[in-house]
Amino acid sequence: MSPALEDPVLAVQDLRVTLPSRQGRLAVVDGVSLELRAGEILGLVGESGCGKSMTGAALLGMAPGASGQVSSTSMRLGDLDLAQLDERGWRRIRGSRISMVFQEPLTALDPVFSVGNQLLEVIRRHQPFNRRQARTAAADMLASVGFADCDRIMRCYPHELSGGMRQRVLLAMAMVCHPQVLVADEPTTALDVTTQAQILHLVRDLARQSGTAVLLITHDLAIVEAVCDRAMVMYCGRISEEGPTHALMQFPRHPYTAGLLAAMPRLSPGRVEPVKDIPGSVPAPGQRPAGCSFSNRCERADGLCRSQVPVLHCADPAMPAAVHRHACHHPLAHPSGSATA
Amino acid sequence: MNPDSPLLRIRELTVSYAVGRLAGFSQKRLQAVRGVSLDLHSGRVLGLVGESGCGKTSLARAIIRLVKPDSGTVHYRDFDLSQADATRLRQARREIQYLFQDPLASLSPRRSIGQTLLEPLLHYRIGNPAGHRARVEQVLEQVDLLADILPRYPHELSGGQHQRVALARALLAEPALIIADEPMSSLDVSVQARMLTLLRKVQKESGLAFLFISHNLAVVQQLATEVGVMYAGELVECGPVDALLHNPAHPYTRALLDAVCKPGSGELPALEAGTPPSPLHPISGCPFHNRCPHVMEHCKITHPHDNFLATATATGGKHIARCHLWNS
Repeated sequence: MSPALEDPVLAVQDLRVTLPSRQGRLAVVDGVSLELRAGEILGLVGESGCGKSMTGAALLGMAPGASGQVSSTSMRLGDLDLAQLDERGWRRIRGSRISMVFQEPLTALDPVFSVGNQLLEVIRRHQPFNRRQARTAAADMLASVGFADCDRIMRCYPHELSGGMRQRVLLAMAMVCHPQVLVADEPTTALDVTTQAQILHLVRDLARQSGTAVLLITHDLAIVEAVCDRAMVMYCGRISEEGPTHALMQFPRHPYTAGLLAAMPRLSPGRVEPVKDIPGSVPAPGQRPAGCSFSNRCERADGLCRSQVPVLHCADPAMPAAVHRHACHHPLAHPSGSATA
Repeated sequence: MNPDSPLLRIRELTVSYAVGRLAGFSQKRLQAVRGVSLDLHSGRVLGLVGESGCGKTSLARAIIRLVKPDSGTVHYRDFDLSQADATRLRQARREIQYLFQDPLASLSPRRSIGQTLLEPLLHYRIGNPAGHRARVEQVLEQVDLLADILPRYPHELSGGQHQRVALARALLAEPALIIADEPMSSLDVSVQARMLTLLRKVQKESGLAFLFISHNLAVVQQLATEVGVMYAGELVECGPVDALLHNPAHPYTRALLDAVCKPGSGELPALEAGTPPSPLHPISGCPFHNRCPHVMEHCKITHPHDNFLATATATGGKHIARCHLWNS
């Protein structure tokens, strides 16, 4: 089954998240459009402060702080128009049709309630189940995230579990109502490599089995390559490059993507490839350069880059699928030689 | 001191903590480090890897006696740190500097960076006060920071800058060994790459020895000349970085290598069953036997000893595995 042939479950056009400042409203997410299809895993990568988490939260109708604002030209979850939802409407679908897993599982769980209690609350809030049906659903869900002794886990409190177990509990809470979309914000960053592999396997299997579309937010390109079907690279609130994972990793066109790849240490027995950093750092929202926001860190930048904002366009016009797109005036050459100037 | 003798020689080091209610009176003890022996020669970089809770940090802290080991010895050059008096310990702690995992927490929020960086020079009476400013600026340049950072306070700096200030402070004490406990784990990829490049440069220029702790094998490979793998408080394998990554001898090292997402493969890493044994209830025999794919009957009963592997290595380093598979 190719997910690309179906209609998207989630389609967002021109998503913006703005925060007030002395210079007026600043866009921390600045015109992001994305589509997610059933069973698909989309990776969202970039450095800290690029707006990844803000984008993820905005998909659940959550604005940063009291004065943050989320807007978009269109935002649809299946047949539901998310742009029209009020707070009560959002509460009905959060956790049932679209849910989220956070980076730090200990702070996302309530320390004074048992795991079972917190899991049952999600079910009873969204499903018309009686107590016994809810318990069965909860136990089934815990079993499907790999717990053998579900009854004992249900009685446990968050502090009694290890980091990997807590993350699996959060995953169970997020998936128990079979949402159409799961936003996973750095779900494995706080975990060990072995536990990380376990959580990634779970996310992928759950997505494939239940048809849930996953937006996986991470700063680790190795994770994107291991589990994601497609990837989007984000810089300063905008998408700088997007495409099928393989194409993006093998033939990055945007210098920022190439920079991220060069900065990632690779485990290669026998030969060490020294990492290279990207000079400078991510500018604060008020201090972004005019034109391309990467222009002050990019060695290919010229006058055009510093004056005109590049738009996301097709990387290779020869490719009819037109799925690999980048926002760069002077992209890196494609090995097939079809680079545009 | 014999030039061939190691800078740091640890033998059978054991660290445990009292746990439970009334921890001071409790008989219950958590075995964090169990009989670790290792050598670190000057100018070498030993990467220490393992999962959380395997005792990496406890081992590092026991070296400079931030925790007191139960038994075993830690020899720095010629004296035994585990028995050293306060004066000797102070001297050794100047030469063995420690970079903590959370750089912000290791910098005083109420002192400017300039004050923080003068501290090691004043405390250890290094150089004469007239030359202090020049020395601080020299080290700042070495860690790619500008002198305009001196009047600023830690909260005004970024995570990468915190870590570089911490490194500058360590270098000002003119150490022979730097223990770096997960210095990268809180940094972004690009900042991490900059820090790795910087550490490599500093290490090459100054010929310092490093004990570099990380859970990320790919990061360790960037710097290390030797790698030690810890599991359940034990050093299960130790050897030159190429030998260990190419031909991992211990099944746990192999499992750890398999669990890393490898760029280029486009695949999810293999899954490994089970979890490490609880440090409160150590299991008999080899600590890895309940997860090991090569488990044999006597692995469950007898504890394996260190086996020297005959793999010839370019650097001539020893390759040791604590595993019954290599019993001769």
